[in-house]
Amino acid sequence: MDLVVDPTTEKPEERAVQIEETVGNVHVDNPRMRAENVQVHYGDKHAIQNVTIDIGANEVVAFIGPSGCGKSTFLRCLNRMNDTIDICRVDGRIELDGKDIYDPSVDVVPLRARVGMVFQKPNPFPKSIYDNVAYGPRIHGLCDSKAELDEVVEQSLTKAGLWEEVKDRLDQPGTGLSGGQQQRLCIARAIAVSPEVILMDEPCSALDPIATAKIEELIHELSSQFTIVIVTHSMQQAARVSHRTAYFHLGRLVEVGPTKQIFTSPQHSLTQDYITGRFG
Amino acid sequence: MTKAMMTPQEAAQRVQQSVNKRYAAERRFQLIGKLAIATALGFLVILMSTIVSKGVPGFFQHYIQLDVTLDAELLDPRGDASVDSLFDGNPRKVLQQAVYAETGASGRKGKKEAFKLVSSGAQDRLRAMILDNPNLLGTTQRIWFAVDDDVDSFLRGYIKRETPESDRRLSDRQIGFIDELQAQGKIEYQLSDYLFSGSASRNAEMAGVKGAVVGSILTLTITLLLAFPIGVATAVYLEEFAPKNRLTEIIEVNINNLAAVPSVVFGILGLAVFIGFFGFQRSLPLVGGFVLALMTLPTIIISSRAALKAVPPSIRDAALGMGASRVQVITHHVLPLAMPGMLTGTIIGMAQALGETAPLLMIGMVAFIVDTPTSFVDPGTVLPVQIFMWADFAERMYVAKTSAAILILLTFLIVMNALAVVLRKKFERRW
Amino acid sequence: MDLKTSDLNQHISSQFNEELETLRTHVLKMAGLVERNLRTAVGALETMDSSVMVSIEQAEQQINAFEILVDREVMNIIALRQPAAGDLRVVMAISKIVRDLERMGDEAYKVGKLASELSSDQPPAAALNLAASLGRQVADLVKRAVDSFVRLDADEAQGVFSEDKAIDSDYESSLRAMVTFMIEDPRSIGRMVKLLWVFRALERMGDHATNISEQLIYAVRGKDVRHTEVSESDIQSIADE
Repeated sequence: MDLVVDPTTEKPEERAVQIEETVGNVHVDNPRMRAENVQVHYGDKHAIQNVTIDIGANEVVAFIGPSGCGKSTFLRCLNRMNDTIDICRVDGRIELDGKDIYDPSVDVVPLRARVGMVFQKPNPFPKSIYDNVAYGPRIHGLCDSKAELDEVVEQSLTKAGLWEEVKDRLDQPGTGLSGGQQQRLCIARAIAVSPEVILMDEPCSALDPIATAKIEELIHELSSQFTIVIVTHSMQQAARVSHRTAYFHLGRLVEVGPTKQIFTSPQHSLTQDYITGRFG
Repeated sequence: MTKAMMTPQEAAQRVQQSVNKRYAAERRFQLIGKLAIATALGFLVILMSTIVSKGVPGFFQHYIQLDVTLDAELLDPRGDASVDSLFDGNPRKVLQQAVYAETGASGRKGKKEAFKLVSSGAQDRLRAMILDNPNLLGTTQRIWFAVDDDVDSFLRGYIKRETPESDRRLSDRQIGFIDELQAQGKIEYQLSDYLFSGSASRNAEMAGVKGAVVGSILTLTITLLLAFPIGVATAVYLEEFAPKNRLTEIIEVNINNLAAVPSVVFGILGLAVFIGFFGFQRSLPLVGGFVLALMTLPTIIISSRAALKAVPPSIRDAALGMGASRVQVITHHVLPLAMPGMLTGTIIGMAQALGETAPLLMIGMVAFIVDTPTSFVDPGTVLPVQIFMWADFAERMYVAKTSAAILILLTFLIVMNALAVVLRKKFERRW
Repeated sequence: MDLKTSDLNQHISSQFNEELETLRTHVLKMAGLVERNLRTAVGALETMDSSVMVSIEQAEQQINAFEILVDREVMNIIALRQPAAGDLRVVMAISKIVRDLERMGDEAYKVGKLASELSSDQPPAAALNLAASLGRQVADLVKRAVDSFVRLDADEAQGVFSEDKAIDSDYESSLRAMVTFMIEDPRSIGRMVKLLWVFRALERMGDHATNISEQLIYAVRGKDVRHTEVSESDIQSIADE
């Protein structure tokens, strides 16, 4: 049991709150991914402390929490994007379909094909729309023929709700689309390799409300086929799109629960304070 | 306790008071900037106008028209118009006949002086003409030959008629011949063909930049072939793969320092290593290329690293997130995006190399080489060294030739820099 | 995790704090008016003073106006602040509590009205005393429910339930007493029926007080204590229909 002090308040002694175990049920019946006692260190900084959570199949899980609470860091552990950072060390166990993804025998390249990622800022490659979507299937050798690849591109764009808007200009650069379209293109690119899990790191933070609504609708539609983990700064967004919500605070997972419960009757005072916009 | 806030009216009043002061300061600042730019532009205009005004005459020279009877027996003693035969022939005699006929010179001294009016390269030109077209043998042709450089200088007014004959490089008789020929319209001021087709020569009227230009191209080819791949590979490794530790830090610092090392040091290095240790011949474009590659490498590495750094991390993230391997991320995304920047850096490095003299002096590319090099291992020189050498020669005509060569060099530099700009504009992408 | 009154004024947005505070104040004023009207009406039962009707009517008008005002404020908070968790529960509870308060206001008005009607045709003092005593009990209950709301005190609210049970049983026994009165004196049946309406109104007010407490407990604890006989599976089954 550690004493965690929120550094943002003026009187830390008043703000001292005990985070013991994660409140709420971290386990689900049919987990797609399981994280057990995950610890992340950035050099000397203990960025993630003892996080245990299941991500259920075909579930949308939202990670919320104040900036720097480690939610994005934890998300990036789920497809080992943190590998690219030299000073980052991940301990504990993260399973995908029962297999530890940090096991030395696991190759990170196929892992990332199974656990796709969509980033905060829409980042299409400066290539054509078609090539953006076709990139994943190409490097992973998913398609034997051009016709097959065309089919995958069309399906992915259709699933991402972009096909009708771009079918006549597939050869134009993806960077020429609007912000919302770019983000949907990135989603199409991620689903083109048929992943099991899609990680989204604040996918709407750079978008206007209409584009955001479209992405949220898309997340809802995709959840029938994919497991989605979304990090968001917008509590309303977490409330709208997710089935379960996890609240992170200072590198710890404070509370997990069904979204409806988290937003009506959170159990932990930190969650309550965050959700209702209080300093506590 | 803080002072009470002032009212908006007070604040507006004070702002108004300070505004004029601010505008005055702004105007002062702009004026200083404009003056600085005007000074810089002024110097540039002076420089360019000097070079152009001196250089343009270098592109022209005086020619003399002669009716030459191409006597087959004299020119082609064996009668088969072969190279050997032509070289056994006596074009001098043919020319002499033509000159004497044209000037009406008589007497040993008169004939000798008359013949001196024509460039000594005229015989070679005659031979080359026949080689090109043997049918000319036996006919009489009206041909323009370059005049001797002293004659040229006289015609340009550098050698004054008023100067006493004993102090002049032309005799009174020669001046008489020239006046007569001019009166007949047989001396003309024409675009020089020697400048582009000729090589280094002691005879100013025959000197040209061809050998130097070819030497520069050969040298730069070697430089490009060496420096670009090595530089890009180094930059990619340092930027993308190398761990951040003491060793790579030292390497980085040293690369940055190398960029500031005086170029002559690279020449000494080249002399010691390539010529002293490996035993290469002096004056070779190959060795020059090696030395210039060494000198250009830091520039290319630094600009390539900057170009790599400029590739947004979001693109790397996107590719990594799709499951691309590190090498795929670099070859598929980072390098194509960084290429315009790398090419720009390379072209600027090459332009630097093109204008470089000092290190090449050290490895002997300053030698007087008449033949145009045809391979990387033929001795040669380069354009800036040629300029350097010409600037040293005494004949007046070299002044014009030097400036003309400088203009040619500047043209090359401008073309290369323009190419860099075009490349950057063309491949620049927005993301 | 229980909600505390301090939780309502510690938002980062001071405007939101003020809005919540205003909302609460308005509900308290409204509840005060309801309680006052009830006590006045009950007093009229004892004194058979019909003149109080003027002030009761006036207060009833204000109560109705408060209902509209509070509803409007609730709407604005939901639309502009998107309250969540404890805030959401409090706001939702308030929107339901005002409905109960307004109904209680109506019932209090009804009691006053009946009292003034009865003043010209008085039932026996014993019967009136029974009614007045139940009335005071209900008024105490209402006060307790309102107090628990002021302090966001779920335990206090819990007490309201047991007290309401006591009121219900008093109501039953009072009804039996009324029947006895009517049998004894059939001519009084007309008055007695009016008095029966009074008992009925008082009993309804007790129920509304319970509703308030239920809403309060939900607001504080996030737990629904209504209709304990309904199980989660019952809710699920109608949701899935």
